[in-house]
Amino acid sequence: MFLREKLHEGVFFSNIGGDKFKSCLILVNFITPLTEKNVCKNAVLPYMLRSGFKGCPDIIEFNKRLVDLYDASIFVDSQRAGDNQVISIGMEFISDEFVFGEKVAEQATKLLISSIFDPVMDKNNLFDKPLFKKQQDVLRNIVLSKLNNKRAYVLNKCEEIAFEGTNCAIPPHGTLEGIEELSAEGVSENYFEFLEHASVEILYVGKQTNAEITKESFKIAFGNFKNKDRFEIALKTFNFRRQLKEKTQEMEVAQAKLAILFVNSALGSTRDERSKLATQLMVTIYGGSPISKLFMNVREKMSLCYSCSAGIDKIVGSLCADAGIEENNITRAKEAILSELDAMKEGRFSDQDLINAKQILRDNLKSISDSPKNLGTWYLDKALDMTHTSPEQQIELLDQISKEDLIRQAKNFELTTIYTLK
Amino acid sequence: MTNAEIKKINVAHINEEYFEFTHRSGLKVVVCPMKGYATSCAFLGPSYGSINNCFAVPNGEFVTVPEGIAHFLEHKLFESENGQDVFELFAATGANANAFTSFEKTRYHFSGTQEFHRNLEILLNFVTSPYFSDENVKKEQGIITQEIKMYEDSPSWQVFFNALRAMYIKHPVRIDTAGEVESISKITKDLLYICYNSYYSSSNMTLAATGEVKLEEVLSVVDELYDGKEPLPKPLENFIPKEPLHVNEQIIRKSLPVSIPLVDIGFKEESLTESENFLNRLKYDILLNMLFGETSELFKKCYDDGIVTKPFELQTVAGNGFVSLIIESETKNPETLYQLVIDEVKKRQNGNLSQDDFQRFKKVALAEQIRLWEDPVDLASKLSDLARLDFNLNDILELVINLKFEDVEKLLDNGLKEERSVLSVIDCLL
Repeated sequence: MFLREKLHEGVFFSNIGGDKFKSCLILVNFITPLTEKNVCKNAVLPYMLRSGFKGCPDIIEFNKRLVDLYDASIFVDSQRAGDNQVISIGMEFISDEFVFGEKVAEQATKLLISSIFDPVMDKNNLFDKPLFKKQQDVLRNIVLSKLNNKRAYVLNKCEEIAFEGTNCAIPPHGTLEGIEELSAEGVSENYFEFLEHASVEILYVGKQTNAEITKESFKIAFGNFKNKDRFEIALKTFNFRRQLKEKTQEMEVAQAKLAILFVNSALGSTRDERSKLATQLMVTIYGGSPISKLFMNVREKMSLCYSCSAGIDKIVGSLCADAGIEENNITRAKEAILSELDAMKEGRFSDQDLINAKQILRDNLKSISDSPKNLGTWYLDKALDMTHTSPEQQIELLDQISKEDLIRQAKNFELTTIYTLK
Repeated sequence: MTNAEIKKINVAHINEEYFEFTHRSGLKVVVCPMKGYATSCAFLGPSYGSINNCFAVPNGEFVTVPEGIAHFLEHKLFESENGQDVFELFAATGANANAFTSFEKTRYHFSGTQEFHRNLEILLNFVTSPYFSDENVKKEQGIITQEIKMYEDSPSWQVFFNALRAMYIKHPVRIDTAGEVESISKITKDLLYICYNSYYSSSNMTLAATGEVKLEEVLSVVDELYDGKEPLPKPLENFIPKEPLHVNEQIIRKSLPVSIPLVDIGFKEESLTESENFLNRLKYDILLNMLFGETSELFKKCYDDGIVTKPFELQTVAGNGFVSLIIESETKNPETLYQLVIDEVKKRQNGNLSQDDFQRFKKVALAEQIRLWEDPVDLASKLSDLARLDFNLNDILELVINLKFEDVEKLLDNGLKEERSVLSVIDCLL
């Protein structure tokens, strides 16, 4: 099931079902434009809110309350979706029927709402300064730690270069410089702006007995911020650079990392599900599965690497392939990755490849209903690309897609950026 | 038909049930149908991992094989004699397949929403049909060399294995699961066949199927694919060197391109039998949370003083001949954190643990058992681990429910010795 209801202007509650699950997931997503001015102010907010609330200002006591609810967990994040910033605050907890008569659902929902709407502020509506300093440190360390995962680091760097000149290039946790400039006053002011003007998507997956009361609780909570002009998500065509730009960064690493990015800006602005699905099928054959051309040829036949794959960002319309290789194999890997995409553009893949890709995608789509987290991710993505389609609707579309659709989509991708770490 | 006795396990607290039996071939099988799920999944594999590098072959002699060979073998089973790639077979049904090797086990698994019968056939078929050639061994050496280099660039992997190397002197748990570039270069097709024939016998294997599955269907595929296979006449003999209690070295450091040092603080604990270690893991997890978890005094102090900015990652690493406790964190003050951890342990020993904390983390342990049922993949993995050591989910639930404060207190008072602790640090190279 999927029922999306408007609680107030720009505030939506989606009940995704989930009676079969033994736990419940509530995900509150705030969507705002991603800007250099606000990225850090927004990114630090969920960490401020995760630290406690007026009725429980100490983070350790807050953690104790969560653990006492059979390890209820509250989690926060800041992500980029196109040129929007998505700040998520979620709660997961075990359903009441498995916890010896305790009322976990009610208390966990109250904790989530309190942490969002009743943070630790003084009478002048200013965040506690020591708390702010602490969360500024947390955010700084998140940004610093991005270097630890070299693959993710290279993919991020490649995107930043490919999207430069647009807000899509702004890292969703901000930069060290931006974090240094934060102040408790600025973040406090931004908190109210954020509650009043962000577009809000609340997702609920779990026992239906609690769905209605959860919806009402959020309706009341957002009632203080109704009738505000809220941000409206819009699909866009981004004007990314079309000429090739190559950058190499030197670092003491055991293995070179390579990322190659292609863009098809038109994909980001289309609401045509068929084009997006055809692109996804094309990428499944190209580099998105263990039977892909990159896996079977660059890894298995050429024995060049352990990991070689590709993924798409459907909102901006980008395709990025990456590999971890020996430094002296960089050129061979680069040529192979480019040549495999050329093969896709020229239709050099079999009918069986397409049948297999459809089966893989069909299977992925069917299995979404078996995971609260995957259901949450799916419906958030669908809110962001404004389609609100279900996995079942996409499965029906699969059969309509032909080899020619894939070739057409592959041809739309232009090489713009190559990033190497060695 | 099998000659197995099928046992129904009723997990009353969670209102679920599943089945287990030992097939006449010796294969241990667990089947758990899950109502309302579209996904079916299966885990199959031997009790064979990176620590099994020395074992007896049929003539009774012990052979020593290159480090990383269990993981190498796992990669190689995905190729067949006719050149058909296993991933292609799974792709035809849409299933997602993969495998992994840990210290004591190798697991091959799939999950899919279509054609469970066919997927299970593919799984059992490829795991029971090895094909190794000089050519495909050489090719895999190139791929796994890159996998090893990927781990060399991973600070979390390096800090963890360095902690194990600092703690263990002889036990092969100190060896990287994938081996080293030099050790895997010594792997040959003949060595792979020796390992396969020793460890992949049906009585050393476990199969767990969960989700949209039927007992009869699993029975029929097992009957078909394990027909004629016999259990080993006697249990396989592994040689695991006896490990002294003291540590190899107290401090181990490495520099990598990281922005904040990464730290693992380890305690080497006394090892009992493999089964006892397995069950004690649960008690150690509770103890670690009581001492260093998100609600602990130590975490509060470190957080307030700016020594850490996020919760410690806590882990009990336990198996055949090894038990160690790991506390992981990013911090600019590794030595300070190490000393604080040691001081905290001493402060809590001899009667200074909190009953409230104990009750709190018992709830966490219980919640973990309930959450298992959320995901067919997690459940199959867990059931296969339990079956390997002849446990079931009720054994674990009962252990959690009946666990006493004194049990955990005893572990603390008799263990977590300063002289058996280590500090592993990844320093900033930049």
